[in-house]
Amino acid sequence: MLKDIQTKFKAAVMQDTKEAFLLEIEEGGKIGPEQRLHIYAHAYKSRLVDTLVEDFPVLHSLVGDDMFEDICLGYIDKYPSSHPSLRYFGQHMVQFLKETEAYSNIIPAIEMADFEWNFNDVFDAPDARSVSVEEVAKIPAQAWTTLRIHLQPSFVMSRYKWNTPAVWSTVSDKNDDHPIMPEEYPKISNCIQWKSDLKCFFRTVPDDEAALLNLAKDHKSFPDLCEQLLEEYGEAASMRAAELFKGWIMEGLVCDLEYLKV
Amino acid sequence: MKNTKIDNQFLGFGLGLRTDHYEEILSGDPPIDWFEIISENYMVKGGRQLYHLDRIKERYPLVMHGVSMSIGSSDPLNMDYLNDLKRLAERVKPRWISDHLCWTSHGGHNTHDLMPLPYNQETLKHVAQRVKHVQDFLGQRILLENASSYVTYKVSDMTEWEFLHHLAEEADCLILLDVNNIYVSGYNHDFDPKTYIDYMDPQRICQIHLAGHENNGDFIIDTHDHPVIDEVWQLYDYTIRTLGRVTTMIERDDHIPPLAELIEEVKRARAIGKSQC
Ligand SMILES: [Fe+2]
Repeated sequence: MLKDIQTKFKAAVMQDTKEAFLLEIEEGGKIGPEQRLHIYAHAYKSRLVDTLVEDFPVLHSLVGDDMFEDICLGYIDKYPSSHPSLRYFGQHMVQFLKETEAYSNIIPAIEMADFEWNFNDVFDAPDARSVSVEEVAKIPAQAWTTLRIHLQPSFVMSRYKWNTPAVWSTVSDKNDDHPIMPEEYPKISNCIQWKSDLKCFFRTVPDDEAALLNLAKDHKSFPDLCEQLLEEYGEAASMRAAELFKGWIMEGLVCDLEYLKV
Repeated sequence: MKNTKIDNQFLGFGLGLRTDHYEEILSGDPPIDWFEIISENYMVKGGRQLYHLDRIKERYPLVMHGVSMSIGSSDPLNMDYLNDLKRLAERVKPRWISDHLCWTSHGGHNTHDLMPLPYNQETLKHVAQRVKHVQDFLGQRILLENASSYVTYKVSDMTEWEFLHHLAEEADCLILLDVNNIYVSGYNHDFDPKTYIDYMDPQRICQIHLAGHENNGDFIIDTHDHPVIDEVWQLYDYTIRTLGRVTTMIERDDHIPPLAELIEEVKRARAIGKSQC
């Protein structure tokens, strides 16, 4: 009986199939069963729409109010919340846009959803300290061959065809007098996002650095990183690797160093 | 959880902890005795929320208030959720943990709303058994709060206050009485809020919520985004005259005003509380 009522109530609120549930509601009072049910149905949709509005503000301004509302309603229908926390409700947005005919060709929108959702994940990923320049200076010369770099647990890298990170900045910065319009890059670019000292960061990275970051993420050793650059840089490979590594330290991208104590 | 004596700690007059107020709370010394956190907001692995929580918990007693336990659902209990809740409790060391007398999920989907239950023996048995299970799992009694509701089911054969009272007895749990919600439901379902309060067992009432709402004339939507109205202050006065001194807080969930404004409401609750004790 309880299960039956909950099934009907859920269908009335989520799928708008009201008839069966309306028969369960006591009549009487200043408002009728239909209006009473409407309070719940309205609260359900508006709470989920509000959550998406909060999670995807730049996607919203990119596609405009009307299309964003259509996206929200379509999404709510297709991906009802399956997690007790609203925090995760928007997790299938990229997937939804890719698989829905009306949006699957709007690449800047799909990429923006990806970029914004990444920030959501970065924001409450596990916190870790940042390795300092002094710690790097303390690595004994002979230990560098065993060095493995641990990136922040929040670290994430994406590839974009459009100038998504730049558009995100320009839209997020309300005082930007020369807003950047979405445009396609001549070639795919890499963008990293991470958190250091509770602050979220992002930047685009060149291809050689992206390759190194991927190796570092897989806990490959520093010599492996240098080797990756050998073809492009020849003798200067280890210098380039050291230069990039130093940059990561300055940016708080590295949370731990692992090497053999000799 | 059997047969341990109920020891209702009095924490004084508190406030729901909201992100907007973190800095002000940590940089000042607001006259608030304790804070209530929304558990789900802190069930994450890291970030600013947990950072601030760790600092605030060093300075104030905290209680945990959840919205997604779905104690009245016909789905099995969500053990992932309960594990996360338990882990958070180990970090926060709250004075107590509460959730709502309602269902929020069904068939694996969450409504993210406090959906009302039919009040009858079948539901009572079902919910009591689940409360016992949760209490055994958490190793402590939980508090259940009365939610505002807009529908009454034909299959209900007892009132909400009868149900809540019997549930607390049967499951040996405690009650978080939201005086505003009683007022709202009284308005929407035509009952006298005092009848509700009169029926409560003072021993089981561990905490009180005071909040505001929006009156649409024919009905009230419980928005928790306004100051407490005079009628609810009067009902609070009546509540503590009837039930005695109870840990009380101001609960604002939306349109969060500056901290100072909420402190005024906490002060008002304190003044009413003092006049009765
Ligand atoms: Fe409440």
